[in-house]
Amino acid sequence: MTNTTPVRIIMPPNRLKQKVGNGDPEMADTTASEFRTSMMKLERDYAVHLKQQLSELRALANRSANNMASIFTVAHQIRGECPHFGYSGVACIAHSLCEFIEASRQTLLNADAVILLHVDAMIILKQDNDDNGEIAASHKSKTLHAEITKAANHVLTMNRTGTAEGSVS
Amino acid sequence: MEVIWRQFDSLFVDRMGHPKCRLFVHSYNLIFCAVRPSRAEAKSIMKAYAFGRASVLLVDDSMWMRRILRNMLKSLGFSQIYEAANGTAALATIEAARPDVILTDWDMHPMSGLELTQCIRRLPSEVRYTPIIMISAHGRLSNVLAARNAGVTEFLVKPMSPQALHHRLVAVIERPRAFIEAPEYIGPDRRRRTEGTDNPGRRQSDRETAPPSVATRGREDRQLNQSEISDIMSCARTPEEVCG
Repeated sequence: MTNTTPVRIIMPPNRLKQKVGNGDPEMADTTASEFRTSMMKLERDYAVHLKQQLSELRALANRSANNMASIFTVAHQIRGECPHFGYSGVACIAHSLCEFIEASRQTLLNADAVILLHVDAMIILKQDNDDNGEIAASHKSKTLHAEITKAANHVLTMNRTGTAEGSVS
Repeated sequence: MEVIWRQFDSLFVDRMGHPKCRLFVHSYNLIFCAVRPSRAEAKSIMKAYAFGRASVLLVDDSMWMRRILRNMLKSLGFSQIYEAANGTAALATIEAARPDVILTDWDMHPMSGLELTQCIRRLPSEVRYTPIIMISAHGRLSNVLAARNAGVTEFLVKPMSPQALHHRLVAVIERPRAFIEAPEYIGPDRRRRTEGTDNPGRRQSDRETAPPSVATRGREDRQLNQSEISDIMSCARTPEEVCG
């Protein structure tokens, strides 16, 4: 059956352009520093919030088989918010956790161990970030991320090929 | 202004503070000549966009992400910033406040950013033309195509920076696209500027309103960087050209 509704092509008025006028396509030099200053004021509150989120994530990870969607939601939030508050290492592991859950698509053997590995790494990195700063935590996160990726790939491969021998600890 | 004149085989130059024009004097005849200013000169004379005159709606279920975006927008000069924690609240605010641009998250409950976009595009009033910038950590090809096919104008991948947000806003301001109202699709034109509506070369992905898994058929569904996403959203490159 053919749909006879005509296709309309409209050039709507550019309201945003009308209001903001002409401007420099490059951002003002002061914008980035203004943004950083405004974010620094929120860092202390965010650290408390992140601690709560990681505790929540740890509780969910203990029963991960039933909580995959909730774990993904929290990890997804962490990976989006963390870098703006100086927790780039935590964000990196949160991103890895999201990718692992997306790749799993179904309940996997040993998936809970990999999820716990991610969450514990995030807790350690958060503490390291608070104690030693972002750069130190970021270096540590690279090593941790490499090891966690190995474990995640091992579990994904093991489940794909159906070889259930071996476990991740 | 730079004034140059020749007298008795001597060249005289005078700066009068306007880098865009130069004034030549030759044999007592004045010749005004506009020349392109250098990058540094242009930077010094170009003013920033008056973002303070425009309004923006932030839609995100995370209070912290709304705070981050509010700070980012404030540092860019925005002062009229509305917030909504979900799609239903956003629709009410859109009708009441008529924002000039909407920034929305993807992952929200009960209405996702994609569903919100589709709802906005089907509104009877002119607010359906409002530019929508999707902000998400879902940066795979399938996600970008799904956002584009829902009617999203620009896509900004998390974690974002003020610079990246500024670039997307400049794209909305300086490179507006026509609006298509078709039975299967309502939103910004997804065709390249050189293509007509009857062009048989229209990209396969433009005709695909199907789920992302179908839309990415035959292409690698990998994580894209911001540059690749911007090329796909602005139709500068096809998904095939980006992902092979």
